[in-house]
Amino acid sequence: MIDMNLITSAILDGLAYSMLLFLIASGFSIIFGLMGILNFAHGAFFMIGAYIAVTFFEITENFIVALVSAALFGFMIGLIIERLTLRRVHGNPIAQIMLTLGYLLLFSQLVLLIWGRTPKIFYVPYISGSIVIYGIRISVYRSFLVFLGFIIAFSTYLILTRTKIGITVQAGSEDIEMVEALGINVKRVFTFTFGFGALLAAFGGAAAVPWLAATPQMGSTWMFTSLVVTVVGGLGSFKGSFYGSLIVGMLHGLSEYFFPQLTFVIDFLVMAVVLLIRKEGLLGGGK
Amino acid sequence: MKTFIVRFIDVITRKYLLLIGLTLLFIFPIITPSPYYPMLLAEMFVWALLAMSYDLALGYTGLVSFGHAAPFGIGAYVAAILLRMDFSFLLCVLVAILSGALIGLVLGIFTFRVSGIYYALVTLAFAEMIFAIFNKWVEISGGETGLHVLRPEFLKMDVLLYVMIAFSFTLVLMLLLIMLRIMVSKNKATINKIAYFIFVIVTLATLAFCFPSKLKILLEGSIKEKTTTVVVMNTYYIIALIPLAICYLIAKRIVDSPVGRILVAIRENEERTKMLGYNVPVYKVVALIISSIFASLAGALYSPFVMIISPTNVLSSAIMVNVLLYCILGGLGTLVGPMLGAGIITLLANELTSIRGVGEYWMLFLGIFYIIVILFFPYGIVNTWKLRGASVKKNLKKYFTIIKTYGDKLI
Repeated sequence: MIDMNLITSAILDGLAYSMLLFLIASGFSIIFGLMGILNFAHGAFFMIGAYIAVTFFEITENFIVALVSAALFGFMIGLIIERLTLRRVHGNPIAQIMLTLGYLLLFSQLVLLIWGRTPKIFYVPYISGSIVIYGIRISVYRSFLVFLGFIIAFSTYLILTRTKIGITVQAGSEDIEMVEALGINVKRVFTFTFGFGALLAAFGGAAAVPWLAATPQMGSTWMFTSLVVTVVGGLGSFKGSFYGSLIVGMLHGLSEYFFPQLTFVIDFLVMAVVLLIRKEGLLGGGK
Repeated sequence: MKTFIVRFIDVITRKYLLLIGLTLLFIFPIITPSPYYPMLLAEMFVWALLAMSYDLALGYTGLVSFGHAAPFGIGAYVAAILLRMDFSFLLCVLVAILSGALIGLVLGIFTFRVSGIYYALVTLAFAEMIFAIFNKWVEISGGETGLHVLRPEFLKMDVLLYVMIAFSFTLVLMLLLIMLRIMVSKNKATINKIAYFIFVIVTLATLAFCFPSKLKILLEGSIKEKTTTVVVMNTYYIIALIPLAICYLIAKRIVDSPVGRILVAIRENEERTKMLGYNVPVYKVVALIISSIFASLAGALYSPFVMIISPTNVLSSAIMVNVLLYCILGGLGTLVGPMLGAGIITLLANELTSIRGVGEYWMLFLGIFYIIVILFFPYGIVNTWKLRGASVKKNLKKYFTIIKTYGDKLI
């Protein structure tokens, strides 16, 4: 007899996890596609978002304010980092990787200094707990995360396909020199895209807190998982990052319930398999 | 003053300077008062070896490998496990080297056809997978608490003391030889001769003063439990230094050989090298294996030094991040640079973490340092010296001439 409760919560956990993964991985993927930067600081943005949300929630007791302020803070940090430092090492992949690794290190330590070693968590009263439908227990917050994730995914998709800046970003991932030749200020697009990716990551971090809590290690762990997602989905592909995060997130959720000892290895196993079979990832290509 | 410097450079040629430096390094434990400095330097040597091995892959061949913690950690674990089984240290090191070569080969096969950013990703995934496996496999790795490494017995003996004594005599002999050359030389200016005398006598006096007291400590060390750490650290110092020196020579030989030139060609332009008829993937695998061998040797030397190893300690990506910093700070594409970088960062880490109120912020400093180095010092120490060294030398020469002319005017 299979326990329905277990299966539903495994699937729901997987979906919610996928949505958080998508929030961090999509920005990472867009940044890589446009700028060619393997942005290791992306996990740091996720973590910063989480901690900013914790602080603002403690002050205002308002979840929406916490989410929005975290996203704005992430956007600002992204803009500053790109404008002041990353732009200087444009076109030098090793320097970019090292620089963003340095930021990951720096932010992890800053968080440790400011907020301490203990995990921080808060509960949003009206969307916590669980409800029972037909005898199956469903966590409200995780359902909310899935809902939120789908909304963000859809609106980001709209921004990328229906607005001028979105189309510029897409064109930039295809052929950056051509975009530059058409008279578009590519540097400004870079800065905006980097900031937007940081915004998504920080938003995801803020949304993750009521479920997974904010810890100083979350920066590097989420960084590596989102790397796996992006590789599975295809580096630089927005849709790929969506499907990739669904695959990795569901595998993660299911393995956590049914094969807990595999959880650590499974991410990298998936990544190795995908890289060996089709190194561009599922939806990647071209570049 | 100017003539003194010029004469000094004339007499003490590069070869002599190198020999004196090496000998000084070998007898260093004898002339320092406390066991702290040999310990610090021994740690530096291990990291220097690891950084040098990483630079063979990254700096020379242009392989952005993020899996360098894997051979290091595997080497450390193999040595630790064999030492626990009471095998001899030499055998442990040999097996560790073999396992490192194997890891390099496996990694090379995994990455046989990929290049660029995917290379970094595959190697990173590989290293993280090995880390995850070791982290979960507690029976082998000791898990979070770590594995206690038994130090080999011979580290407690002071046999290697005689090596140091021999080297110190070599140094004395060398100094006397140089003095003889100066005495015989045509330049009759007595002032120079006096300066040389002072130089040599000060060196000899330092040796003479430090040596007996140190010898006493060392000889008592085998009897008293209290001073065993002194002996262990002195012996360990030599044990770490000799492989470093040998590996440096081997790496230099490789880099200067035709194979080394091909590796550099691959870094500069992979397509063109392929067009010239070289089997690029095979050369990449070879470079990776060589680099892994040195890394696993560093790991094998590291495990008896720290005594407790755990996956977070020797296999985590933090190792890779640190080594990357050593290489960038010292200068990519050089052998001396990464070693220099490793030395500087290890020294800073040890000195700063011991200061109260600063130690907690060390990782923060490291992060800031990382960013500053990449933004403002991207070529590293050695490459910057290569670029700017000539003008610095010229400026120094000019400076000395100015001093001399002023001095002449005054007189």
